[in-house]
Amino acid sequence: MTLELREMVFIATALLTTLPALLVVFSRNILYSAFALFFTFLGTSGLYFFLGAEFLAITQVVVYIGGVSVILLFAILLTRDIDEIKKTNTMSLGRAVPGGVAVLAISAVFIYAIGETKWAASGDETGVPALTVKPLGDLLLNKYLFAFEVVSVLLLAVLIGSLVIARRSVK
Amino acid sequence: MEQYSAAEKIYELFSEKALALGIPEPVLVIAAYAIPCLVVINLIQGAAGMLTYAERKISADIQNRIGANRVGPFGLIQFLADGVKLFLKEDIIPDAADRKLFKLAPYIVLSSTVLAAIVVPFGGSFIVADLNIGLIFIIVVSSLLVVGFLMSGWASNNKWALLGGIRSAAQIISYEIPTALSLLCIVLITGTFSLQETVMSQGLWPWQWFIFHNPFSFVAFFIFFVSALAEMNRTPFDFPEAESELVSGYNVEYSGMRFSIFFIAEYGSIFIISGLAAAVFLGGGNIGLDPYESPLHMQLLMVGVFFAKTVPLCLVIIWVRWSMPRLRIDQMLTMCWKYFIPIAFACLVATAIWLLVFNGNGIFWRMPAP
Repeated sequence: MTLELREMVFIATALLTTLPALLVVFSRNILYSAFALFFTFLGTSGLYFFLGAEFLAITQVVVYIGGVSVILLFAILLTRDIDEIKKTNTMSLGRAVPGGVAVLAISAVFIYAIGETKWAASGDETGVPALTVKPLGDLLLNKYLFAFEVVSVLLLAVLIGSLVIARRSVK
Repeated sequence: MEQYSAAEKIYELFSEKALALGIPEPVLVIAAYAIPCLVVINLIQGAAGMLTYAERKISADIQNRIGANRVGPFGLIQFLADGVKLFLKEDIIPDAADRKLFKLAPYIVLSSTVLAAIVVPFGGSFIVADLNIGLIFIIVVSSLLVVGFLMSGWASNNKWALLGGIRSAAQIISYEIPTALSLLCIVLITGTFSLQETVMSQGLWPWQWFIFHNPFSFVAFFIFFVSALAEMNRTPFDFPEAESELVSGYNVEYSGMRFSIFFIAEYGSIFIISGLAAAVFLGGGNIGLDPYESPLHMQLLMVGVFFAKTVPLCLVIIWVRWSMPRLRIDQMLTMCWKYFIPIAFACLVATAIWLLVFNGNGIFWRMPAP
């Protein structure tokens, strides 16, 4: 079987997603885990690009790299009592066993879902929009406007809540 | 609608000739994708080199000195000499540093700058890929810088470097908001994120540019430009480097070529931000012709027009650095959160209302007939 160029790039992207993910779990240095998570997010966004979902890919980068991974890094760098960074992400049996069971359960569900899904044959692109930004915008502001607004109110509440928590109490 | 990409164009142009010569298909595909990448990387480095020269000359003029004038005519190839010098320097990694992260950080910073260059339309059909999410793409990849700065700040194992890294990260994520909001004003007008289409819907003459579309886009341009200065860590917002407080910030422990990679990224992003401002607000390389269908000499003229708008913006950025003192850090935060973000939001809402009231038309700009 000869590998197409496209497939090789895909495999490289998939490796960029999975190898750092292993480092996230197994590294004993929590900072390494955080930086590895950054590469995992990049790889995931690359996978979305492969699916032709550019908007989703770029949103992945905005939310997970611009937001989540930077916040994680800030949290780690501003934590006061890290004496020895090399031993911050240790694994104990009490955590490894439930974690492993959860991973097995989730992957069983995923494998079942992959088997059940009716995949379109490659090259069959009926029903796949070429432009994803405009239809998404239309859907969000017409059909799903109510859900969109509810989510935005929720976000606003979270924002105000975090400000209230972070505020110094004024006497 | 198909997205334009330079790689596919190159592939189409050369596929018949190359296949006739017996070059295998995969080699051709790789070459078609590698050529635009190499051109862009070298363009960024060349621009960064010329900008360091310009910075030295302009700072010298402002401070009544002579500046670099020994290497080549008027010292023009001084930056090559600097590059050779930096190549020959010993690459020092401090003993206490985290070696892996220390080595990785400069590449993340540089790749974020080079990635942003992919969607910048250099005039005519000279754009690596006209993504239909171009504007978000450019905002997003410039936020990858944050991770690189935090990484270098931590890995140096030095309190000044760490403080510089955290400051720069905080500054970049704050000023991203007004930058993105002011660009969104223009997205409202054009209804697209594609940079090439944004350029194409403007014109040759200043009154056809989006900066003069309505009073609010005029304000948005200045908000964008000043926040972009802050995003690039340039004076008057160069807190991450603040020499008098932090020695040199996140790059204090770096030496040799790794040090210069940070500077290539910094000056490269000056060029890209100026190019973005020129393309989005000042009409880019538009001379009133279709960029894809015009003959080659007209396309080169478009590139000339693009650079005629970008280079003065770069020079303004340098000029600002040498004539303004640094703000205090609390002033910087106040300016962003209490002034820029509300003003940018107001501009966005006001632009939307303007477009509703005047049916999409600007003061001089007219909505193209559908």
